[in-house]
Amino acid sequence: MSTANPTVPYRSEHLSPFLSWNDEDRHLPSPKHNTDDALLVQLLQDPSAVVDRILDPARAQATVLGSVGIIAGASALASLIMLSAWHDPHRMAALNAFMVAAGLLGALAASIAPIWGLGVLRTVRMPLPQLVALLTSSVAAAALLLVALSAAPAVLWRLDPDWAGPLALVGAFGVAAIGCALRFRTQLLLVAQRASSDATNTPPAHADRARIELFARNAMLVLAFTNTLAGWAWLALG
Amino acid sequence: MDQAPILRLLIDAIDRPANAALALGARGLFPTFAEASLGLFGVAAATVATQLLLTGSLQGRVDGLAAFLEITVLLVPLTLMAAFLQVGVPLRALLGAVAVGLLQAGLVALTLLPLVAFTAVVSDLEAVRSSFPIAHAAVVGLAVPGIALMTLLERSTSIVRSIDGTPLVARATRFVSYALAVAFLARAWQLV
Repeated sequence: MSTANPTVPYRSEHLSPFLSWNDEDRHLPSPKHNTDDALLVQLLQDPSAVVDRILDPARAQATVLGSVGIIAGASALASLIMLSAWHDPHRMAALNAFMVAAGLLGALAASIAPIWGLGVLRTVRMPLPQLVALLTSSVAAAALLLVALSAAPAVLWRLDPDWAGPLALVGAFGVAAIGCALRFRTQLLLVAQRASSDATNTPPAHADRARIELFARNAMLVLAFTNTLAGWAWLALG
Repeated sequence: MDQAPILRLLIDAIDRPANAALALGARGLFPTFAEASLGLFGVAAATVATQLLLTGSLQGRVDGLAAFLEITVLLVPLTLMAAFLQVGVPLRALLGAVAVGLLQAGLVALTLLPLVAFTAVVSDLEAVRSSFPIAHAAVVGLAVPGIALMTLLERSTSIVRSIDGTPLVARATRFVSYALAVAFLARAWQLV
């Protein structure tokens, strides 16, 4: 991926009119993604590179393992940040962080087989390893987004513990879930595009695209269901 | 221009902020952290010096600085979110934009110090405190970190706008900037 987005209108920055500038100073280099970015960075901002990793047999397994590690670490970190506003004793906070990470991973593991079955139902069967890699990588991206969003509840809870705090807490999980769904859909379309262009050199047909989007919605429904159950268990036990 | 590389980096951060953010993104995380912590040091030093000059002691908590840090803590996750939404700026350049914004905020905060010292010399702040306590608290605690925060928000979002000039990005960055400014005022009101 050479440029971030080639269709972006390109503007220069404002320079002080009281200084003398030459053409080289006025030139704003075009922003580039590094092709050898770490998995952490690619998960966050570059779904195309993640799909490259997933479809490359030599790197697929490492991607899945890395994503699982990122899910565990990031969701534990997010829950620690969110709980920091409650002044929990440290042991309870650590237990809660473990429960969130374990619940998220358990929910993910429980939903893989039903999602694969739904794919069979919609005649968009994916090879199981690819499906596992796609799901783990999009959930890992959502977990990273959750870390980013968890600062909002932590700050807003101190500002207003009655309304803003709880709303921000629920909103952070909601936005992360929407982010996960969008990322999963993007990656599914990219994989389908790669697969069909390998075979026939054409992008997926309109009808195929509609079925892929339906499949993405069904998959996110299953993930939302299992994750809600996991969150319920977390609230009940923790 | 024949300057030492570190000086060149600082002058670039002032004069060509978008270039500097992209360069920081290409250079790696250590220069980014260095620039950000330099800027944070500037803001903290200016705020503490203001309180010392105007009240003669550090007895009260430095609440404006706390609010500034909280809003900065909110800004960093927002850059991660911008990266997730695939703004046309790489993640490291986004972090570089925050670092450049912090550096300029520290610089602007430090340039306010002569004005603060002048105010301390010519005005009778005890009289202001007794008749306008809220105005006194705002001037002593909030003016410097507030102006620093506005610099940080304006600069870091305008860097994103000059690299990716899409109208949606322009609107979103302005919204984020105003929302964080309002959040700072709300938090500062609560603290003061």
